[in-house]
Amino acid sequence: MLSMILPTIVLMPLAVGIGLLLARRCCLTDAVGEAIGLITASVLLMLSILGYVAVGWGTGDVESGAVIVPRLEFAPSWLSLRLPSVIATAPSGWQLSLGLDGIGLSMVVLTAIVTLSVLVVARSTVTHDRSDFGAWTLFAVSGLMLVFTSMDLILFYIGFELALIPLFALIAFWGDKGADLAAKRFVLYTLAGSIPMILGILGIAGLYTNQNEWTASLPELSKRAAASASDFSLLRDQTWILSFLVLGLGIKMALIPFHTWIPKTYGSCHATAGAFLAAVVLKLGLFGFVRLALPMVPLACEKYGPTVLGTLGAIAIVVGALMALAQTDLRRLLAYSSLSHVGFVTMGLFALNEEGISGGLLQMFNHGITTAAAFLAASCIISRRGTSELNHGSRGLATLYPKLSAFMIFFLVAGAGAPGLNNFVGETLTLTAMIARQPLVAALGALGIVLGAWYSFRLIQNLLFGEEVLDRHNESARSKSKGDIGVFEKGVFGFFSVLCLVIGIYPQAAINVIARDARQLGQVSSVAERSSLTISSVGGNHD
Amino acid sequence: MIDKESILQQLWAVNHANVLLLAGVFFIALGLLRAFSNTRLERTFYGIGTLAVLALATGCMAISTSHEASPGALFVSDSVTLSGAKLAILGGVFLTLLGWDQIRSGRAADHYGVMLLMLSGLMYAAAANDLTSLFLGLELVSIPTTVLLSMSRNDNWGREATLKYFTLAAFTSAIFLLGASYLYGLSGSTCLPTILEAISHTPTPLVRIALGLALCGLCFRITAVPFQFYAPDVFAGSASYMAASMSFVPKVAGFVGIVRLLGGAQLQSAMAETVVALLLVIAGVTMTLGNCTALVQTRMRRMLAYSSMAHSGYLLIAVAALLSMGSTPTIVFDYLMVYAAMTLGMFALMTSVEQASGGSDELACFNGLHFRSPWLTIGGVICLLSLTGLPLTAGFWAKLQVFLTSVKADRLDIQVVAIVMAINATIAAIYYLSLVHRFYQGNQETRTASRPPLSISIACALSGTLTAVWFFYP
Repeated sequence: MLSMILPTIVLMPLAVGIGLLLARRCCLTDAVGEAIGLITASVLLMLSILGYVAVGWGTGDVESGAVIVPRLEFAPSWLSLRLPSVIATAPSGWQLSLGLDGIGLSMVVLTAIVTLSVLVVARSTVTHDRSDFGAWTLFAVSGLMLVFTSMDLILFYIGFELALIPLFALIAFWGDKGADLAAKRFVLYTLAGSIPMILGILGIAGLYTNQNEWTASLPELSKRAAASASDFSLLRDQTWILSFLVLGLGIKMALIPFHTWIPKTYGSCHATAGAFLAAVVLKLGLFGFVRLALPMVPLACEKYGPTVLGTLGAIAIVVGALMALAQTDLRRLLAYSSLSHVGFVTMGLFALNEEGISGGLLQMFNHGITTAAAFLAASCIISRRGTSELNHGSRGLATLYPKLSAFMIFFLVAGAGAPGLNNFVGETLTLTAMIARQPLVAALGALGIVLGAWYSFRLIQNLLFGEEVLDRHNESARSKSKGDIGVFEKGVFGFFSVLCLVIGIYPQAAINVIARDARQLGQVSSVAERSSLTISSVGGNHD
Repeated sequence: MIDKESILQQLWAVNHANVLLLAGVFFIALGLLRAFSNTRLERTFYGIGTLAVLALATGCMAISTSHEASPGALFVSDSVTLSGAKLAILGGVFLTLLGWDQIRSGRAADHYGVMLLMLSGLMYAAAANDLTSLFLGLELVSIPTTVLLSMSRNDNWGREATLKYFTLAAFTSAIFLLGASYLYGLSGSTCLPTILEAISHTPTPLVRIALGLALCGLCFRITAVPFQFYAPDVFAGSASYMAASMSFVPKVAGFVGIVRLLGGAQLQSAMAETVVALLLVIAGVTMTLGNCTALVQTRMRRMLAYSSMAHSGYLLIAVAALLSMGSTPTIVFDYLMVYAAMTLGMFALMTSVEQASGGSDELACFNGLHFRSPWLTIGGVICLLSLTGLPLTAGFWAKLQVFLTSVKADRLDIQVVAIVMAINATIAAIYYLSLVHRFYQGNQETRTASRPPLSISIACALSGTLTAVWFFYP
């Protein structure tokens, strides 16, 4: 019965989203639509907490030898894909299924939290069509949830693509002037990535075809992959697949050479949409690496992960921080700082040992929390200042909006990796793990912490403290608008702060959720590592 | 060789096509009476009549039983036959709806009659088991198409389009016949299975030439390179419902022809070596050319023409991959089904925009369409997303299947072309999504609501719904 949570969290937002969009065109008022959106998001959060409980109870089939083990599964017979007889040897079609393991769960909970808080903050910062805003957000959430809960390749890809359309709408309709072009560019850029990705996905399915028996099921594929983790004849194919995946997923998560969509998109979208993009949409790419790259192509990951992708992660940390230092727009600054934080995740995941992977997974969650909080606080600030330019407009906001400023400072400090707060734990874990693999890469990454503190504190100093400067141009907008944050925003930001603190002080609470999956991922990687060491010590060269 | 009785008996196997053929002739005869003075009444009468005939044909199809064809039969009844007939009926419904309000007065009987003949040709071609019946079917498609083209628009553009289509159709039919005559010479039979049996074991250069020539003749119909250049001109120079018909009916005929020619229900993998390379080259060039040219078009019709070329390219990959595996070609027809829904939906949208803007199909006319007719736009957006191949639309499965097939074929050359297709799909996304972007462009103040005609709305709704529903029930 509990497994019904899975289809519900995927389909409910989709149904409500589309329903709201259509109903708003004929009979629904904006306020009612907004309320329905909020209620749906609350239900979603409750369901995901229920999912947390259920996963805690579930054990999953640990003995199967699979790396991906869903602890809560939903695989009804009607959810099978009957592809026409192209695949003459597998006439029965592919069984699709949803499932939840620790990693998926952490992402589902994160998405639910971020969705609800985005919608709450949107109440005061989004100026028009709030019902539609909620509807499109829920639509996008449905795609995200599908990715995080899918237990087969096909649904994974569907979810991955599904989120695109609503994101286009979110960026285009509520952004600044010119946001529609930015949205178009974002969608095209991402779409260009999803096509190599489908090739990579089909490549995975093709690589592990046993006796012409195709499967799309992730647990089954990961089992076959783990069984052949020391079969070096697969390295060539795996390298191809990994490069396709890096193209597809890298664009989504803005891995460093593919990050060029960031300034335009974040610089013109609404800050709440930015919160959603940075906190959860970006996770699609990272999650893709965790789901598809690490368990499915372990040999290629072993060969190129720590060196190439780990280095790219470290570069992202430094370049992101440097770019953040140079920005004059609040949203872009936060976007680049998010890019920098994601670098830690990449580095941790591709350290390919248990500490690194669990650190990376933890940091995925942490990054979502702090980035969403910072973007949402920024959206409150922007709606009060009337502009997100840092060089113009009002400054010294701490005296005007003490509570909002306090929260903003807290989230920026958390983002900078202050000890005792959540990011510190994740960053430390990933750095430690990387030191074991590639000390130089880790050293490069560590540089990012200093730079992170630099731009965060400079932002705090310039925007929030110092002499109070009021912008004459935006005086009218300001006087019309609100004072300090209201009770709902306080609730949202308070909740985020508590989460930051709790994970910072007692990280075990979060690590426990993902520990087992991280261990399994670490194991398959270590098999690959051992076998590659054997190969190189024997002197065999199978490339 | 074949006596009269057995021909009648064989025709019995393709009853659905006979229904359309007879009804078409009957309509034309009825039109001679000139019974209607009121244009509206005339259009409605024949329109509903056509829909009824299509329904009747569906009924015939449903009760017909698939039976073993005697060797040497003219027609067979198998999965290809059924798929072809379904496609013809689906296309017929859309074309009827699209043309409803636009047929010139006094011409409704002729129009619908000739259209039914054209669709029956499609069905005959799909059922063909013999070179003669295949050619007969194909000509029964292309000749009525020419007639419809000339009837639909009576100005210089229309004449140019008709002439272009007619001469090229005649030319390529001749090429097809030349190839067919070689095939006959090589095998001593006109029966397709016998021919395939005879040539698949001896891939001599002559066999290659024969198949190449016959394929050239079919390439014209699917607007594949090197016979693609007529398409944009014909699309631009005909009435919008004829452009819609041109984007679909000849293409289905062409693919049906290719599937029949290369082996019907069970494509012969032994022949793969002979034609796969050729098909792949055509596919790669066709889709790249189509997409790159579509990217720079400023008029909707020309854009759709090039986009339809690109889809032919995708389909050819599927055909090549299936050919190399020796599988049943169902996915080609599934793709065409989806293609019909989404492309004809776009034509419906275009028709309504053209009517509102006084006959112009400049892409700029589509700016801010959302503010003028929001519901129609939703249908259009679904179709465009489907053409792009995004999930929640049937186009997603269609593209996925082609990719899947080409990966499954496990041949390097097919996989390389599949990667070319992936790049192409991205290029295509640029112009499809730019169009979506256009719909929502512009300021909201200039909203002058325009009501599209009912039949167009129905067509658009139908295609939007089909594309969305087929995602869940592929």
